[in-house]
Amino acid sequence: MNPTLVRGDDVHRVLVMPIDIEISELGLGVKEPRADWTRSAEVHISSALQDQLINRNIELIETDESISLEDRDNQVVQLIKLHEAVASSIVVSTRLPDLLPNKRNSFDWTLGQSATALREDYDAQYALFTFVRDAHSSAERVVAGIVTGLLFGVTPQGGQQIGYASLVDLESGQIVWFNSLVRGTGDLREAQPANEAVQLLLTDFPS
Amino acid sequence: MLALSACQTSSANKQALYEGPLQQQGTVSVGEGSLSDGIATYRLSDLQPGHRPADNTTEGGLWYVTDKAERRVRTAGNRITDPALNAYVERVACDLAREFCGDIRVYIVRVPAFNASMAPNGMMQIWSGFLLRAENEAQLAAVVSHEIGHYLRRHSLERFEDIRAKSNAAAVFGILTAGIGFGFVGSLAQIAIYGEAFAFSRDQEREADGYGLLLMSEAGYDPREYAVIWDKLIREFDATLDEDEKGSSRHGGFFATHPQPEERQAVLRDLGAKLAATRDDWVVGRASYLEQILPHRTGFLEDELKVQHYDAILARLDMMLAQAGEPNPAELHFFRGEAYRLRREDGDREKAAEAYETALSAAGTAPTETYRSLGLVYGALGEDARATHAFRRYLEARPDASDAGLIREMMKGLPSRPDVTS
Repeated sequence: MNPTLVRGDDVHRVLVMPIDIEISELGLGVKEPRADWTRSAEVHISSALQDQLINRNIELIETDESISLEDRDNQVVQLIKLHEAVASSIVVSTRLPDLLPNKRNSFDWTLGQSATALREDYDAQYALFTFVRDAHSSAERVVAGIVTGLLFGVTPQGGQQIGYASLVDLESGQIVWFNSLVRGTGDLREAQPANEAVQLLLTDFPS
Repeated sequence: MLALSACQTSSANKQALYEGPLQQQGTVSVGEGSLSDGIATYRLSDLQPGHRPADNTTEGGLWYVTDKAERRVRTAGNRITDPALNAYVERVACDLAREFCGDIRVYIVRVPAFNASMAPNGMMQIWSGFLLRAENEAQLAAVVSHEIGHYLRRHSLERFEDIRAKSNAAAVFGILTAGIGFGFVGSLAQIAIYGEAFAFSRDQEREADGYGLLLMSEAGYDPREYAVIWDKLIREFDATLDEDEKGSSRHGGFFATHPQPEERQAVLRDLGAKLAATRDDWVVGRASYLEQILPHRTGFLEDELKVQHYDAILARLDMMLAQAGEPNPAELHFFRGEAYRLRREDGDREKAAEAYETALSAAGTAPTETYRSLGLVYGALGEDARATHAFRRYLEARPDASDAGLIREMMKGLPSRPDVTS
C-alpha cells in the first residue's frame, strides 16, 4: 500500500496540484456546501502541506495559474481528470478488495505516459494530488442529537472527514505512493486540526 | 407516493403559474398591447446583472459547487466545441437574456435525449437531442428562454431551501415519532423528499414556461412555436407505447420532474395564440437554424440509433420529413432504413429496403453507407442479385472503406448463402 521510493536525487521537485476540496454543513437531512468554510480549509491544508513537506528535502512547485484548468484540450486538465478516476478506483479497491482481485496484492496503478506532459511543463519529478471532503453538523443537527440522545439514547452521526493524497512519478506515470484518510473528528476550518489531518494523510510519505 | 400527490397544484393555480410571468408586466395583460421589458419587471428585484453571491450564503455554496461542475462540463469529452454552432446558440441566448447576457454561459453537449438545464450559477447546458428535435430558431429560443427563466427566478436556490426545510421537518417528525411506532410514516415523508429532489419542481417548470413565452416573444420569435415542441414530443413518445397505453401518464426520466407534456402543450398553445395576435411579423427562423444544425445532424442521428428507441426515432424522422424546407430528405430516409434494420421486427427488412431505395432516389444526398445497408438487408431477404449490386455500388463509392474486405467476403458467399437469420 505504501511502497518506498527508490530515487537517486538529492532534492525532489514535487508539483503540488490544486487541492480538490469541499466542506459542507450537515443539516438534519441535507448537506449544504459551504464556500466560505471550503476556502478557509483550503488555505489551512495548503499551508500545512507546505510546512510538512518542506522539511523533507522537497522543493514544492505550485501550478501555474495561467494554465487554464478550463481548456478542454489541455493535457494537464485531462491528466487531473484521469488521476481522479484512477484514485477513486484505488480507494474502492482498497476498501473492497474483492472488487478488483488482481489488484489485491500489488500496487501497480499508473497514469501512463501522458504524465510526462506535467514533467515537461514544470520541470518536476513528481506531482502530489490531494482530495478532501468534510461536513460539519449544523446547529439543528446538534440539537436533534441531544433530543434523540435523551429520548432514545442514540444520536445522528456527525460529519465524516475523508481524503486522499497521491504521489505520481512524472517520468513513468506510476502512482508511487497513495494514502487515504477517514475519520469523524478534526475541524479543517481551524489551522491546528487541518495540520493534524495533513500529518495523518502524509503518514508514510516517501522520503 | 401519497405524500407526493399532496404537493400537486390545483388546475387554476397551474394556469396562474404559466401566466404569471406575462402578467407581471403590470399594465399589459396577455393578448393586449405590446410587450416590453419583461426582464426588468419579472426578475427578482435583488438579482442584478453580474450578480455573484457572498461565500457565506447558501447561494454562495451552491455557486461554489456548480462553478466546479462547470469546469468539468467545459472540459468534458462530449462537449460540442464547434465554434460556429456555439456562436450561433450563444447569440440567440444573449439576445434573449439581454442585460443578463454576461451571466449566462451556454454549453452544448452531445447527449441523445431531449433536454436542457440551468445551474444556479448561470451555466446552461443544451443537449444535442434537443437540437436535433428543434425545427427552427423560435423553438430553440423557447427552450433557452425557459432556462433563463430558471436563472432569473433563482429556482435552484428556492428548490434547495425548500428541500432543506422539508427534510428538516421530516427529520424532526421522524425524531418525535420514532419512539412511538410511527416510523413508517416518517419513511413516507422521506420518500416524498427524495421523489422531488431530482431537479426543479413542476411549479417552477410552469413558471419557467411562462417566462419562456415572454422572453421569446419579446425578442420577436413566434410564441406559437413553443407548443409545437410539446406537440411533437408527445407524438414521438406515444409512438413508443402500445395502443392501450397512449395518453397514460409518463413516468421516470424527463417526465419525472416536468409537468405532463399534455398540460404544457395545451396551456402554451392557448397562451402562444393569444400572444401571437399582438403582432404579425413574428420570426420563426427555420433556414437560419438548419444552416447551423445540418453539419452536426448526421452524428446526432447516429447517436439516437445507439439509444435503440427505434419506435421513437422513426416517429421523429417521419415528422422531420413532413416539415417544409427539409434540406436533405435522403439522409432522413437512410436513418429510417437503419432504424427498421436494427429494430428487426416482422417485416422490418422489407421496410428497411424500401426506405434505403427511397433514400437513393430522394432529394439531397444519401450517405454511401446506404448501399452497404441495402446489401445487408437484401442479402438477409435472399435477394442475392440485388444484394450483390448494392455491395458493388458501395465498394465503387468507398474502395478504401475499412470494411471493404469484409464486404468482398460477404459477396463471395452470396449466391448460395442460406438466410440463417430468418
